[in-house]
Amino acid sequence: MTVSRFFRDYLMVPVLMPAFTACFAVYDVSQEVEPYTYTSYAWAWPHANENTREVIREAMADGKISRWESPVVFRTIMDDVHALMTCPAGNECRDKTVEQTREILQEAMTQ
Amino acid sequence: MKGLFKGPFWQITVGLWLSMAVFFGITAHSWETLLSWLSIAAFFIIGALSGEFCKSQVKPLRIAGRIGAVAFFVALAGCVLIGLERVYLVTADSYPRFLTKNLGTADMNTLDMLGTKECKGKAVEVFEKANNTWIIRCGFGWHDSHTYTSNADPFRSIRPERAQ
Repeated sequence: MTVSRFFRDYLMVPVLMPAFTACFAVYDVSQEVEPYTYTSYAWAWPHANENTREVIREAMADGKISRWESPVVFRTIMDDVHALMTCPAGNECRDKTVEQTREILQEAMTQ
Repeated sequence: MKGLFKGPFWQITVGLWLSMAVFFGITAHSWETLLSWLSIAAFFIIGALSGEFCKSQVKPLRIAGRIGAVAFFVALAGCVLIGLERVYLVTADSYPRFLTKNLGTADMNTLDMLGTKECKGKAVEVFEKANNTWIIRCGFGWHDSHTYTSNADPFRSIRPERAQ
């Protein structure tokens, strides 16, 4: 049995499925986070220690936080601050645009 | 079983577990998440391959198949036991003391100390049991947790006053 035959009969589906999923996941994490994420991190800033603030600063270096950078920031904040303000659906905090919430975080970072 | 590996049911099942591993690993930005899902895929793959090897004409493959089959059933039994232990921890009136470390009278400071040392990065849960016993667990399942006993409620200083 040739390699290509073996691949097609046994490996193609179990290999291609995760490969396509990975492509989709990579695209998904490159997108920007929800606007309320910025306000959550802005709330955490005054409570955060210098190391956590450095992590937030690094994530905001390009002015936006992607879904790839966000879990690292989230875990760092939780290890340090042990809490995070949330923005439940239906709450007015969800009405802000992403530009506004980016501004809120930028302003909090100057404090 | 050979036909199983060629068929869509097996290949799509494995493909799904690997896809979930990759998807959640990437979106959570976590190696641990990836490895957790991959180990489920490995569990099924090792089980099926071991079954296939057990029937092989080649002796070393037969031995490998038996080892793999034992490992598969041990892992399966282990998961069932971990599930049962968790249910017991949450619902029973007591918990075996010899499985825990005694903290004496724990309070919020004790929990903070645990959070910086042995329990770093783990969620802390407190379960009230009978006979003035509180069981504290850092982590979820027995296999990757620390379990402690306290003779007082660690949260007593922050609880609202109970109605008389």
